[in-house]
Amino acid sequence: MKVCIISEGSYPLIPGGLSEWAHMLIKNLKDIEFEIFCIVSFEENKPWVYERLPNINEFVVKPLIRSNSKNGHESLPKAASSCLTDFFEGVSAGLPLSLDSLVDTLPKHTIGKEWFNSQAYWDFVKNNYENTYAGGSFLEYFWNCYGLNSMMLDSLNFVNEIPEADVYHCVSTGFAGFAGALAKAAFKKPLVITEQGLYLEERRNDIIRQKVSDLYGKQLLKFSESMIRTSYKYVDKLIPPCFSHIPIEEALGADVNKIKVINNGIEIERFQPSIRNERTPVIGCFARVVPIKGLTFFIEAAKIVSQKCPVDFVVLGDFQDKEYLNECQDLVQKLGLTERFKFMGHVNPVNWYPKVDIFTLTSLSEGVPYSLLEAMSCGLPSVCTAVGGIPEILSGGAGYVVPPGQPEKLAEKYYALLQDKELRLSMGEKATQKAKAQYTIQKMGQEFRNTYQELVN
Amino acid sequence: MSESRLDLKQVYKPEPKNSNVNQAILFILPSIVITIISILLFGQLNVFPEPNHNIFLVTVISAIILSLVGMAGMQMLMYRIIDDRDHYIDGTAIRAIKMGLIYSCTVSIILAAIISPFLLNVLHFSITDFLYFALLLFLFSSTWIIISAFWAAERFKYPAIIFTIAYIVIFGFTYTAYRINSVYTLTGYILGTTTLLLLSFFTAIRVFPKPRLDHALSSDFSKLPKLISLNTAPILFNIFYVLAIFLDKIIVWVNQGLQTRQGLVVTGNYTTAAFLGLIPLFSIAVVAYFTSRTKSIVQDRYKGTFSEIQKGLKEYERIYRTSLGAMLLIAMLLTILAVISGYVLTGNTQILQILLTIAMGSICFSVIIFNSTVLVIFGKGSISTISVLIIVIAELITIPFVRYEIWYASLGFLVGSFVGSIVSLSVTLQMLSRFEYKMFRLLLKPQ
Repeated sequence: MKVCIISEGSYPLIPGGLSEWAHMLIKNLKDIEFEIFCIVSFEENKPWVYERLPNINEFVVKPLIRSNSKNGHESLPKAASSCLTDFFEGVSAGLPLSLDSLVDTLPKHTIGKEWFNSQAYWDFVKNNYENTYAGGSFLEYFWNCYGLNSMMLDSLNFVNEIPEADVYHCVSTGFAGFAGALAKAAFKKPLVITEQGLYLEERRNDIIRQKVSDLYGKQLLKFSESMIRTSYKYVDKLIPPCFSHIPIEEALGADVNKIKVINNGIEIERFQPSIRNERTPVIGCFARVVPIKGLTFFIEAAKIVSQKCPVDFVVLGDFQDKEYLNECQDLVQKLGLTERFKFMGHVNPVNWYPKVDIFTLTSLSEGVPYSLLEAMSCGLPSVCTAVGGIPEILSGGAGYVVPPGQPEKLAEKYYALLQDKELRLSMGEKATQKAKAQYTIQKMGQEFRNTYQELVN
Repeated sequence: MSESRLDLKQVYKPEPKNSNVNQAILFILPSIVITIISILLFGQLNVFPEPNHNIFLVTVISAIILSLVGMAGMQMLMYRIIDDRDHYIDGTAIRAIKMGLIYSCTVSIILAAIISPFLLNVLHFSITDFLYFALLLFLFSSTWIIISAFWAAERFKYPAIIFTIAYIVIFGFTYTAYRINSVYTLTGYILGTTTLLLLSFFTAIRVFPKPRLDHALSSDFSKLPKLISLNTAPILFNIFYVLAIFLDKIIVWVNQGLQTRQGLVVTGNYTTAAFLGLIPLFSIAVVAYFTSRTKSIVQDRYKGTFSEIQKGLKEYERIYRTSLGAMLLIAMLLTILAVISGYVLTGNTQILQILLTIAMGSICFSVIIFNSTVLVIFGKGSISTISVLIIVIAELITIPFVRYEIWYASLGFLVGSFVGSIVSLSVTLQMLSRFEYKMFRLLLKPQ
């Protein structure tokens, strides 16, 4: 069986939880051949950050934003033009798209960005503005449309670039899910989508982070919603890693009968509990330094706790956003935590779990974080924000959850655990048991193998 | 989870700069006035003996024409440099004038060298006559450069004052010199023109801010190739525009020169009629009114909500139609004036026939010029260039027929202008009928 993994800005070129998950899946399913179709933002050569596994046959990397648009025609036959207009109307309205007629029409014409010069496209842009965005700056709206629709038009090329396979497996919705939907429409092969994080939530966080205008925010969300709904329309099996995603997916049009939860799995044998020596306790946040991880709340909570008892804090993860790192470091300095709070950068987590006494995640949005599963397997008590699949994972006394964005609540739970060694040990024990029972890579691999076979058959 | 989030810097694009450079075309008007004065006073009125008469007119008119053709491209660049200050921020106008003067000096020497065999061997100019010609060529070229800087900086009152004073001085000096001795006529004319240049130069020095920092002229010149490549269509437009106005006359002068075996004869019925026939061209002064009335609309054409944009564009279209109508009306009145003047001054029916033909051509030509200010907004400057090129071609086609009847030269101007105006008008109206679409479409074209 040949499975084509479709990733967007992740495996195997960008490190992170999602890439880690994809790598482990492929590594575990040795009997299945994989092809990788990786979508990146720009045209540039990036090296693999993961070992190239022997069961990976083909690797194709394609950019979203392409400088060399092919020489298309401004005016297209009425049918093709109307097909594209319908397509972009759907994109702008956040609707699920019908790709079947598009994949039939596309190969017959040379379609490039020149079509954006056409009267048909102009009429669509103008009408859409008047119906939805009247009152805002038309120039800004116009460029937003151009930027977003250019990416969409370029991504239609994926249909000619995706390798043929028996099953298409997208590791997220968004552009990966859209590419998968195109492949499904073109090749009529089963489509699987796993949703570790929730794409729309991530875009909302981007909008806040990038401080974009309301107009662009609205347009971007509609655009993303359309891609997600299209992915759900064409998917054969939608696989969230936790039950908490299901209502959100359903609200965006996913067919609940096609949803199947498969828990993420880890290599339990690599993450074993260890004996901790007496020392100043350490609270560790295993997360990349990016805004979505809510590290400023961790720093603020650290300030509160450090005023009550001696404790050290570490953040273990790549510095992926230098601007945000500076923001965090400035806050550490401002709160007088320079001696107690350290940013360690990229580390091997296996070496660090024994050095940490309490595991924490302060994210604003998560799927099912691998670091949490690993920490649980290592017998660490956890304090995490109640986002994504975390409450589900930590249920049954395996850890504390607090609402996101509330440093006082985080500090309260840290302090409770720091004051009670027995509580830490018993919570860690429960966490280990739960990890071994529910979150093994073998279990996850078997469930995916079964899903692929079921769909192919 | 993913790195593909959008960076807004990738999404926003700058709006194109205003390309309101076609006001440069108005600059031709003062030069035509000088030419007409020269022709009428010293040509048709025949105030001095024949040989001096022809040398004087050949010198003056060929210097005017050659300087206009030679400076046509540079004037457009001056416009671009001063209008679009990204290129030379500090002391823009003065630096552009410096460059322009070096250019005018160089080009004058080159053009004089090229034309020298013709002047010396065919027209039998003496060395002194030739040096006078070369000096006059430089004086005119440099004047056009400086005046175009005032025009680009929208300091219209200065050229108006300078030319008014200069016309009086030129006339006064020339006439006084002639009264002293007709041999000195050209010297008087050159003294008057020198006054024009000096007056322009010192006014520019006084009006424009000086650069605060030292700038190497070489670095300013090094930016020119890029500017030229970005402005090829308007540069060609300016060159063809000047050629279109004078080519029919040159054809007739050469023809008269061949027939009389004098090489070049710039007097006669055709010359008088042709220059009087250009009087309706003065109606293009309406362009100044039109561009000033629509300046803010053009600058803000991409700003605001769609309905605000539409409102602005409707207003633009309204002003366009009103201004075009006013210009045509003025052109017709000027045609009547020109015909009456021609009749009063000459009473010659052949002159009236040529005058009327050229005057009608001038009306059509004015339409091309006027529309060029609109077409440039849509990135269709090349249509204006094609329109004036059509006139040049039509004039060239008449060459074989002029030997039978000189009127054909004016007919070439009329037919070319008529066809060119139809082309220009149809494209302009087509653009205006889908104004918003065409304007935003332009944004997507590579700058």
